Amino acid sequence: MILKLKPLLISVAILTSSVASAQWQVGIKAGCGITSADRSQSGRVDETYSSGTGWAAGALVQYSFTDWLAIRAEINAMDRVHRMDRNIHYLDPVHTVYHNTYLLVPVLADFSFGGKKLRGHMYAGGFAGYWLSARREGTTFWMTDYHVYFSPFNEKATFSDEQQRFTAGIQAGAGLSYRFSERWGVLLDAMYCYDLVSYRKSSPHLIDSRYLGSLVFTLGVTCLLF
Amino acid sequence: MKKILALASILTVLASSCRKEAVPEVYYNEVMKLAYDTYAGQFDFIWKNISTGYVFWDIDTTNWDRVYDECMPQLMALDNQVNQGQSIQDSVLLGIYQTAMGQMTDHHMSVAIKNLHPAPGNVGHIQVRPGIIAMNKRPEYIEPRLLALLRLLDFQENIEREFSADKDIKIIEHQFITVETPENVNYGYNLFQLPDGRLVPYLWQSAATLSPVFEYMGEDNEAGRAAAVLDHFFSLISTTPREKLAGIILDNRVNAGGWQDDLDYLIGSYINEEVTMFQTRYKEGPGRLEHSVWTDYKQKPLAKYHRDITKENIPFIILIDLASISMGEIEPICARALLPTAYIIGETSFGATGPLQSELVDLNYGGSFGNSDLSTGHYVYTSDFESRVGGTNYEGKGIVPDLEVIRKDHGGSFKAAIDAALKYAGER
Repeated sequence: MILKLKPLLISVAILTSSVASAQWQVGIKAGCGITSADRSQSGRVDETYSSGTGWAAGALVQYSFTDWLAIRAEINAMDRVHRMDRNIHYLDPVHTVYHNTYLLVPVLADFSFGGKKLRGHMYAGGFAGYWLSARREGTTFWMTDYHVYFSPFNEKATFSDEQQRFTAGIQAGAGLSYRFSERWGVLLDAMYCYDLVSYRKSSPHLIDSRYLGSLVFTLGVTCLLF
Repeated sequence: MKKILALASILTVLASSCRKEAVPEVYYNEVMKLAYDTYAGQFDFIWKNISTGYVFWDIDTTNWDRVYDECMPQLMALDNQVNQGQSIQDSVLLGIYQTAMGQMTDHHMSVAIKNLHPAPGNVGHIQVRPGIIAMNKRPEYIEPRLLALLRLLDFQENIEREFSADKDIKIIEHQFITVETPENVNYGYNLFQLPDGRLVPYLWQSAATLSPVFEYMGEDNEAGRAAAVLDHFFSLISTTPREKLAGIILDNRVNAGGWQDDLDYLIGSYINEEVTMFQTRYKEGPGRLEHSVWTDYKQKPLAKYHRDITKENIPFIILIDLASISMGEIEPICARALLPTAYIIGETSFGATGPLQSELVDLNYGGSFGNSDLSTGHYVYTSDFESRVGGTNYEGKGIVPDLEVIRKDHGGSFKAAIDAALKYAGER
């Protein structure tokens, strides 16, 4: 029995030696995200959908197992923006910019490389999130018998049963960190959040899945705790 | 690094395969010829286009998914009968579609279906009109709308005879006009005089077609002559001294609806500045609750026939009945919202208040689809826009009058509501 336990004890010893060098790090970060919606036009042939840019901000906590491997958890709020434009000639001005504020919680593995001060990072993991609020702005139209009139709008949108507010997906990215003191450092990240949950629910006879994807750039400040 | 990138690529491909592909829907009027050869295919096409383009899913309580689940097996059974060499009675098809669509909130709606394999002697097509079905069930219903119109036409043409026994009320001007071009419409213009000598200009219109008829002003034809009478009616209202003008009566009974621009004359003439008359919105996507924002529909004042009837406290009385449809009821709805002296007499209106622009199917991917000649196998006539006035959506409900005068309670007489209107004006 003792003999069988030997390999396990050796493994635990190696892991323990790694943990002994572990460090906790926290940080805050802010930046912007470029979001696009992957969706069918559903026959709406004069509509085009394009990406939009919105703010992003969050906090992170990171635990380093070794000098090259860490695990990071974040809590981020993000304005995931995309846009719809009408192209039919008499409705050219009509467009909608959708601002969707999400709370996203990613958990990532951080593979780092480089020197003690300047290090490169590769991230991979997943996230879960919740659609907190929605706002839409743009230009809409109304018409009389002979004339089309355009009207600007900017209003908070209400959620319906057709919308899926929970989301989850995979996330990957790269970053650069620079430690300018024993404790403090800065962190520049580029992450891609790839949603795997449609933000519109399908009905029994209509599958109209729509997915968001966001490329997020953030600059953060980190602090080594111990 | 290369291994990491390769791994990332593999993960991306795997992840994208986790996303469910959307199934694109056919959009309205895209199919310009018969796109199905079975009753099940026909129902599926119509059901899906209504599912994605119908604008009233926020207020319509029809369980549309259950409609599909219950009706589709019945239509597949009809296909089986056809496969066995049988033909299908129109009445059988009508029964299925009436169950499916006969209770819908859109009272403009008309679902016309070609019977693909009609039994001998059948017409070969059916039509379901939820608004008409609802109207026929109402307690104040007397007769089909067409019969009511014929009776009202006779009443209007002979209105002097109707009032001949009335010693207190005089008709000092009378015109009955029939116009076929640009629109089929009838007008009954009268100038009533009350016992105290004050005047009440009165106009009955079988459809809301003031704006196209006014285009013919000055022309020597029936529309030109109608325009002259309309001009006289509105001029009389704008110029008659207050002490001689007891009120105005607009009679919208059995009014089939028509042009939104008529509001320029009927509301624009009596406001002093631009106002929001109502709000509209349309479908912004195929989701049933995927609507655009509500947008203000604005009305500018019309200088030509302007009078501040609010300031002068001139009663603007509008007569409606259960057959006042679309603009025939939107006019009194807007008048009540914007003109404090508006007063509505009669029966609750038909309940078809969603604007239509059926010629412009690409405008918002909602509304009518198919061809009225049924060359596509179907023609579904339905609103493009949803409307609300002061936060109230009147679709499927109609406007309730301030004073109820039910024609059925007066032996089917059209005169009782006019009597009530003249009494109301005389008391002010």
